[in-house]
This record gives sequence, C-alpha cells and structure tokens, in this order.
Amino acid sequence: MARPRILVADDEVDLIAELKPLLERSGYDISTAIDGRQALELAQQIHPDLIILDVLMPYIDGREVLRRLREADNWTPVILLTQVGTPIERAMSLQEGADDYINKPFDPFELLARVQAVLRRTRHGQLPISSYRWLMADNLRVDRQTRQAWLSDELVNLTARALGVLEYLMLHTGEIVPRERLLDEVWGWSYAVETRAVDIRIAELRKILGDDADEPRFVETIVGQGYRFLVAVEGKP
Amino acid sequence: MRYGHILILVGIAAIPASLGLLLSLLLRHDWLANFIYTGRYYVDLAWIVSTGGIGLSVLGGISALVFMGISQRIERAQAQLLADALEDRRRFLRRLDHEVKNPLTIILLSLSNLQHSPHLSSDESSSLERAAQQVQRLQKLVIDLRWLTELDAKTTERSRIDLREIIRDAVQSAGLGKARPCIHVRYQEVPWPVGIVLGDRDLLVTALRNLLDNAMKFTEETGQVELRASDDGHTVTLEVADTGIGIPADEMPHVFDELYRGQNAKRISGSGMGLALVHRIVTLHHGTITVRSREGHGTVMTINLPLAPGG
Repeated sequence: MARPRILVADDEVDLIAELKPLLERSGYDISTAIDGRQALELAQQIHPDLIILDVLMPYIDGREVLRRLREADNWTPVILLTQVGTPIERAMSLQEGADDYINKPFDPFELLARVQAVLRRTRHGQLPISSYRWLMADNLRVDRQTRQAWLSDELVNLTARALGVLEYLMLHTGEIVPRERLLDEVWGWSYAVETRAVDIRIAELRKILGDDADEPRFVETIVGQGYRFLVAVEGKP
Repeated sequence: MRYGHILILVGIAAIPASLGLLLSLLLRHDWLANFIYTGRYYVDLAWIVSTGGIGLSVLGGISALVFMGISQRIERAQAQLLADALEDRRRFLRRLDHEVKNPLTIILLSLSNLQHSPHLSSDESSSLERAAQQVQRLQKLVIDLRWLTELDAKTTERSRIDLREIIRDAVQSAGLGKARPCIHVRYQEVPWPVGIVLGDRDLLVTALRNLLDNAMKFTEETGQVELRASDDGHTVTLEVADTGIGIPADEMPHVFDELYRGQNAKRISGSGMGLALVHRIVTLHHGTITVRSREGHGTVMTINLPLAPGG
C-alpha cells in the first residue's frame, strides 16, 4: 500500500528541515513548499493526501492558499499551522475550510496525532465538517453561527464554554480528545487553568443533554486520556 | 458628575442663600441700617451685601466649573495614558510571541528528531530531555505572558457563582501530589452562607488555587495554610494566610508585577507570573487584592469581590 503523501508549506526552511524527517519516520512521503505560490502549484501537480499549511507565508498566505484551493473545488484535507492566540480567531480558520489547525509552537507528537486523525476522518471530495454552519448528531443540533444548541428541537441553555466543548468534540467525533487540548482550543488557556475545569463543563453538558456518564450516548470518558464524542456527526450549510 | 463635584456646587449655591438669610436677620432686628449716610452719599448696604453674595457665588460657580472641567480632562488623559501603555505592552508581547513561536517550534522538532537517534548514550539522552523541558518552560512563559495581556472582559464569562464551590475546587486542585502543609478552610462564623458573586468560575478557581499553591510553596511542611471566607452583605472576602517565609517590606509594592521574583523566593521554582495573573483576574471581577506580610513569619493575601445583586 502506498504511503500517504503530505505537502508541507512553510517559509521557515529550518522548520521544514526538521518536520520532514519526523513525518517520514512516521510513514509519510513528504513534499515541501516555501511559499504560498509554490504550495498552490504543488497541490495541483502532486495531489497530496494532506496539506500542512503555515498561515504566515510570503506572496500568498496560508489562508489565501486554502481559499483558492476550495474555490477550485480542491478538497484535499488541510491542517493550518496557526500563530493566532484566541479561540475565535482559530475557529475562523475552520470556517474557511481547514480540516484542523495546530498552534505554534506545537508538540511534535500532537501534530502526528492530528495528521493521523485528519487522514482517518477525511471523506474524499467532500467539504470538511468544520466548514458547515450546522452540526447534527441524532436529535442534537448545534448552530455554530448563533452559538446555540437544540435537543429534540428544544433550545438548551449552555454556557459559552460548554458549547465550545460540545462543538469541538462534535468536530472531532470518534477521536479521543485530551483535556489539555480542550483547554487549549476552547479556553485558550491551557497553562493557567486546571483540567478539572473541563470535567465541570462536561458534567454541565451531560446534565443538559440528559447523558449518563456510565452509559454514555453522546460523550464518553476515556479514563486517563480524555473524552470522545460517540455519535456520527453530519454537517449542514 | 462625581459626588464631590455635586457637593462643591451645593456649597457654592449656599453662599448667596446664607448671606440673604443673614441680611434679612440683621435688617429685621434693626442691627443693620438699610442705608448709611457717608456725608455725601446714601449707601444701600442690603444691595451691596446681596449683590456681593451673588457675585461671589457666580465667581465661585465659574471657578468650580473650570476646576471640574480641568480635573475631568486630567482624569481622561491619565486613563488614556494607561490604556495606551497597556496597548503598547500588548503589541510588544504579540510581536515577541510571534517572533518566538517559530524558533521554539523548530527547537522542539529538532530535539524530537535527535531523541530518535540510535547512537545516543544515556547521558546524551538525559541532556536532550533536560533541554526539551527547558524549552517547554520557555514556551509556557511566553504563552502565560501573552495570555495575561489578552485576558479581558470579552473573554470572561459572567455567571452567578457560589464561592463555596470555588473554594472546594481550588483546595482540591492546589498542590496535588506534593508534600505540603495542611490547608485549614474556615468560613465566617455567622449563620448565613458566604454569598454569590458574578464572574468566571474557571478564572476564580485559578486565582484562588494560585494563592493556595503559593502559600504552600513558601511554607514548611510543618507550617499552616488557612483559607478564610466571609461576607458583610456587600463584599465577599477571601483570605489565604500562611506561616511561610514572608515578603520583605521593600518588595511588597512589586509582588503583583509580571515576572517579579522576591529575593528570598528565588531558590523556590516559579515563573513570577502567578500573582500577576491573580491580580488581573481579581481586577476583571471589579475586586481588589491586598497583601500583608512579616518576613520570616508569614503572609496574608486578601481578595475582596463585590457580591452579586441579590447575592
């Protein structure tokens, strides 16, 4: 079976030089680009299975590369290497059509985990679920634009952070999401806040969704690892 | 308009009123003649006194308005200066954060690649491990600094919070797994529960936990850390007291500064960000934090937070 090909685009040549052996060791073939223009050309030529795209690059930045790919109906999965701090800014990257993002500086193993997860969940030729406004799982609906959720057509009252946790878990359905990642992505404060803050929001979610921790329907606790959303999620524009 | 300004205006308005009252009393009792003959002119004393009073109050009023205008301008200018300084610092930290991110990422990747080298001795592996830990420490520092400046009212939740839950969570998570002095939690000795505050639960737990962590870090295992909570109907007071090393008097004004580490605290690990973070969180909740300490005896940190309406 052919090794998956990943296109890595970043203007920091030293970063590419270090990232390449790491990904190759993990079983991927790597092509590299050092600016946005080159990334666009290579994406059309080599048809990679995944693109890792730095946001800040000369000529055409990562976001613009992503927009042009999507406009050209190219749905190759993209992981953005972002430099922005706030969760809102990062969430915008997803709405622009990225499959995932990872904030610099990142743990190399965290990047490998994201690469594997994105390749596993990608549905070829389809919009990434993260670019949809509505997320639906059974009788649960989340409107990512108005930041509201409905259970069996009844509006549920969730705090902003509980909704953020629900949204992130739904976008990564089937994956074990560690508490630290939830803190980083939803709170934006992974270092200052205790991971117990995540447990409290999960308890809030379960109470409002009528979910049972022992026999979970939506959110499962994986002891010592994190949480996993159990239901298949569909996106709607 | 401030309460003080209103008092000034009322005071000025009282000048003609009191002069008029005095004048009418003097005239009524014939203690003052209406007119005085100077030998050449008749002088209308009542007119002079009342006109003088009005003149004085008009002058006083104009002066007060000018004074208020100037003081408001000074206050606005001071607020603007503070806001500009904060924005300058934010811009600087954003730039620093941005410039540091790529080198840190590269170092993390390089270390990870080196750790996979098959020819490493155990000493070399340990060195790489230490280097990786120090990079993570640097990474944490940059992120903490950035986070501290970005933390504002927009990113904080405001819900009704029972402080007993905050205390329970903070005590549970403080210093977990470390040898530590015992924490005694003491609530007020009055028959009502400590009130409700409006705020961000996660941030308040973080603030209290940081104070408890600090207290335990700077206190011997045989020492004591006490957490007290009370409310007076308007304000909730949380106190974290310890029998630790204390803070020298000349360092007290700097304890809430970012990256400040006291002389006697340098042998104990820490980033110098904890108390700055607590200060920022408390300020965001419209509260205050103060410190009392005796070097060699202990420290008391006091947080005051306004009670929620109906709390």
